[in-house]
Amino acid sequence: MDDDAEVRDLVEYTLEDCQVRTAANGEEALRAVAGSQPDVLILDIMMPGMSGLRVLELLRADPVTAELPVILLTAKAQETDVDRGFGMGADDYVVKPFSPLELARRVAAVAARKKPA
Amino acid sequence: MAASKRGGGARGGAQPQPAQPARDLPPPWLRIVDPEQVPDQASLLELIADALGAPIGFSLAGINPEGRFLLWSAGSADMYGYSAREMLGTRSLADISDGQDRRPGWRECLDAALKQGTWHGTSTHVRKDGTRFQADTLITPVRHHPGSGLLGFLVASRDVSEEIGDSQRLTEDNLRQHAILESSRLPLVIADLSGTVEQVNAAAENLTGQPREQLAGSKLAGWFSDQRPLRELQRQLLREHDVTGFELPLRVPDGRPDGVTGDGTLLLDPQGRPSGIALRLRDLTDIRRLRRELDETREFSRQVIDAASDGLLTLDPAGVITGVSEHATRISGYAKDELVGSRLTDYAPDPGQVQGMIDGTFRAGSLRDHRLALTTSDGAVRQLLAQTWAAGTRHTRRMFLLIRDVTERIAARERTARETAYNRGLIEASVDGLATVDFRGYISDVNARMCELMGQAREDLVGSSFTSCFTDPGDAAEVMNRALVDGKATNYELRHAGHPGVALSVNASLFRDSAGEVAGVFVSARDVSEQSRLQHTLAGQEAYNRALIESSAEAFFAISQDGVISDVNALASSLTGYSRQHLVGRPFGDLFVDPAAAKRVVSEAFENGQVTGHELTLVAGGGGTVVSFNAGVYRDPAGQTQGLLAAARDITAQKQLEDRLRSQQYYTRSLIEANTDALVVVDLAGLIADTNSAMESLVGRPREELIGTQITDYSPEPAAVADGVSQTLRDGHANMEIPALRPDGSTTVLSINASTFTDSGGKLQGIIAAGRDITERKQLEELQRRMLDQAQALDQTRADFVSQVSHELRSPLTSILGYLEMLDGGRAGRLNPEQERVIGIVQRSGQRLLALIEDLLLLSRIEAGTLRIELAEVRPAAVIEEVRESFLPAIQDKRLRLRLDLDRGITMQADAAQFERVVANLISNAVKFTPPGGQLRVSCVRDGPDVVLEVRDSGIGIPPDEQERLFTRFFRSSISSALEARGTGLGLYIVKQVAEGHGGGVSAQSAPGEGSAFIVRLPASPQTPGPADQKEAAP
Repeated sequence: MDDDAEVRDLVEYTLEDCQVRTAANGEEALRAVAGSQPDVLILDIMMPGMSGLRVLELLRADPVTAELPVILLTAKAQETDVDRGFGMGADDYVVKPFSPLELARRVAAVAARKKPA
Repeated sequence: MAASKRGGGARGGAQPQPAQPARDLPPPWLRIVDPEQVPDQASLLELIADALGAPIGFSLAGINPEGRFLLWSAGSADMYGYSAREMLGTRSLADISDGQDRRPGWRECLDAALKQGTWHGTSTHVRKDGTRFQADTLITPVRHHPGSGLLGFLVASRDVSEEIGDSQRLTEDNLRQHAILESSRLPLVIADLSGTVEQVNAAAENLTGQPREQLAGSKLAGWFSDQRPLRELQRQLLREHDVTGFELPLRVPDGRPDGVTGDGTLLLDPQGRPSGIALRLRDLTDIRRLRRELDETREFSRQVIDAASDGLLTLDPAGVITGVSEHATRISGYAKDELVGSRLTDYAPDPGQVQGMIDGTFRAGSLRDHRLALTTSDGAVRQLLAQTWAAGTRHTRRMFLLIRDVTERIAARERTARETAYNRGLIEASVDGLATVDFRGYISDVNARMCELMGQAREDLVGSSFTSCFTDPGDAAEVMNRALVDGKATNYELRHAGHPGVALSVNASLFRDSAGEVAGVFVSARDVSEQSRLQHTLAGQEAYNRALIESSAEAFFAISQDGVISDVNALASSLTGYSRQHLVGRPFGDLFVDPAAAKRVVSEAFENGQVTGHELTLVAGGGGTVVSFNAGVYRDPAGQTQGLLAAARDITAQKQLEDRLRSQQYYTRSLIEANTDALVVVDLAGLIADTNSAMESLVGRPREELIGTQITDYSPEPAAVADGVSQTLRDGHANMEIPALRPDGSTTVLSINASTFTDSGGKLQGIIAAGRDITERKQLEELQRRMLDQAQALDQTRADFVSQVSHELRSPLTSILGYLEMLDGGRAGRLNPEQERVIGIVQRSGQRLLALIEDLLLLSRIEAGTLRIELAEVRPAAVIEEVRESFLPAIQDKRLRLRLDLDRGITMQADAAQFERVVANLISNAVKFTPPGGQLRVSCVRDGPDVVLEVRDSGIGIPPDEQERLFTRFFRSSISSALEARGTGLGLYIVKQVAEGHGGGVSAQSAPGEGSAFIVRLPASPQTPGPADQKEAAP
């Protein structure tokens, strides 16, 4: 989920080996999660309307999605947000601008860590 | 320059002036030769040689026009640590000058010396061991002849660091002292030993009514109406250093003397020598005790003075009458002017008798109960009983003659004697009524006096029953029985049966006939009824009065109508210091400093019959004794004024007390009035007992209207006020905020500070409350709070904006750099070398843009003061290696060799993002300013509690004159433009801010052509964690 269409495209492009669904805001993201049971969720923290952290909070509150692996996207200015994100149960974070290959590696790692459990 | 020791606060800081006008004389320490009295050339040279050879506390050096040393004195060697060999010909003025000193450099000083003839000022000099000090320096050009070619300069200097330090400390001390002075609510004054005022505080301005500009420099003596106490206080201070409770008569603004109590302290200089005095003026403590004492003293009992009935005459030694009282004229029948000037003997039927009395009086001082006969105007001779006193000094010698007419008494006595003459053989001369009573109780004989007493004829009385003559026959029978049984009966009082008003004192005794047989009872009776008893008791009364006068606690003066003292008691003697002899006969007015005033008191008393509470100052005792007089006229029984009896009491002590009390009250009043707070004294009933003008203007009513009204009337919340009163009475004090009514009906909030007060006996008297209008303060507080809120809101907006911009800028960069990476990685197809090169350039530009954004964001936070350090565990080695990655393309481009000396075990608490910026900015600079093929070295080690990051390059270095400005904002080195290096001038500024924000610092070492090193020192565990200190460690 990211409000910037180009970033969404980049992530999709980067993870072309995976099946990627994008969402431009929180509500959309929650609907997508409910409809598709993803392996990993990438959430941009800073969003107009519902923030990435709020989405994370809602997901963690729902038993179905409580264990869903989540990677946060953040600008460096929001280190505290990252801490809060970890407090809410985020699995990893990537700082913008991120290296697409790096993102791909982290997605793989998080997904692999969660799968066996 | 020489720092003034007495600079005070006037000079702001103690920063020495860089240069002073060249026309100044040399500094005093350098005036070794008086140019007016230059001795011959040889001795002058000797003198100079001595000066050069001795380490005499200042440096004397000679330099050539280029600044190289030609002359280096022993004093110079002592001061700078360089020997002459080290200096001469090799070193120049530059070596002992501080390049960092912002004041004119040594070359400018030499130029100035050339232009102005000499340069004098203070500059920073450097010793051989590198230490710096402030030198007072005098530079003089040296020529063979005036106007000829310059040989060099003579440089004289002296270490004045300590003086400057002293002067700074002195300034600080002065400021501190001033603050202490001002914070006192008591008037304080500091004066030097000569009594010249140096400093005062605001309270002292209030007290004296003069601004401090006028007070400073004035004489303290001018504050007081009497200098003696002040001088005594100064003497005591020098002796004892501290004096408390010293009374001083203050001269207050309206000219009325007022008293204060001064506490003094002697001020000592650091050597312990007296340097001045500090006075604290006050007094509030004694006032209640004084008030009570005064009430007691004022209690002035009024004596009722009985008048006597004697006439008074004064005579000179020749017997001439010099004065008479009204009563005396009445007795004599002559008018006053007839009597005065005539001889007393002229009125005497027996002049010899009178002359004898006069002589006797002057001889013995006084005569008592002297019998005297005088002829009155109608030719009758009056029998008089006289009392006399002699008075006055040799020349004013005179006598007083008090006369009482006893003619009637004597006539009666003589008549009786005649009528009872026939009984002389039987009885002694008696004026009593006599009777004989036979043993059966019948009167056998009576004398004429008895007939008179009984009011009956002799014939009627003889043969009648004795007992039936009296109202109580039983008592009469008792008299008889007792006489018959015991031989006599004495002092029985019997009343006349026919005239019960006539009381007779009866004595009886048994008498026998010639044969010795009982013949009867002999009875004597004396009339003791009113009239005669009066005569008897009068003498006793006089004695009693005299005793009363003598035993009185007051001094009594009897004053005749002509204002002359006719009698005094012993206290009057001791009060005036004159003996009774001296006082009697002397004009009353002469006793006083102002005789006219005393005379007025006397005439007023004669006119009105009495005066009370007149105050007069006695001549005796140096004029310092004030007495208060009550006086009343005394009259004879006929109502004729006889004279004046004046009772005096020494009220000097009381006067002093009153004066003091008045002063105190005035002082207290001033204190109350001077207070800017509204003051209210409330009694136990809650009524206002006193108040000040601040309170008047607060409630808009005059003091007179406020006093006596309920304090609760002045608040829209009377219950709160009543609560406050109760609370104060309960706890002894209270602080509260209470709304008050303004005259216009509006409400204002008062901050009240109230406490109870008691009398000297500790009895609760009421409450004193001080109220301060805090409405404005409240409004101000509200305004401040709102402004703070706004500022915080603005701050938040700004932070949000920064955050937003950061996000918005990063998002497109994410796309750009992300896609470039994909391209570079061949995801969009294989690239030819030219495409790869182009993409590399785009990537580096993108990275630089990113770095720029990071720096700008940091700058904006630093500028806003909102740079927050979010501590987390950071591994410096990891961060450095990560940063190195991003610089690898540039490093490779320039064929630089980068060596990392990292201690990988180090962890530290730091803001990870900011630390990364520090590393990136330093490496970026090193890469930028190192020519191709150069070397870079980045090290990071632990040094005690610190982590030290060093980035060193073999670059072109930084010019020395730019090194200090390296870390200032937007500074760009001259070499940047030379190298056409890009940059914002923010990098090192951010490094410094971040380092300092972490409690560390940054320094640079550089030599042109040799390279530069930047050393950042950060505490591994900062003591001042940012607001995020509670957070968990980030991965």
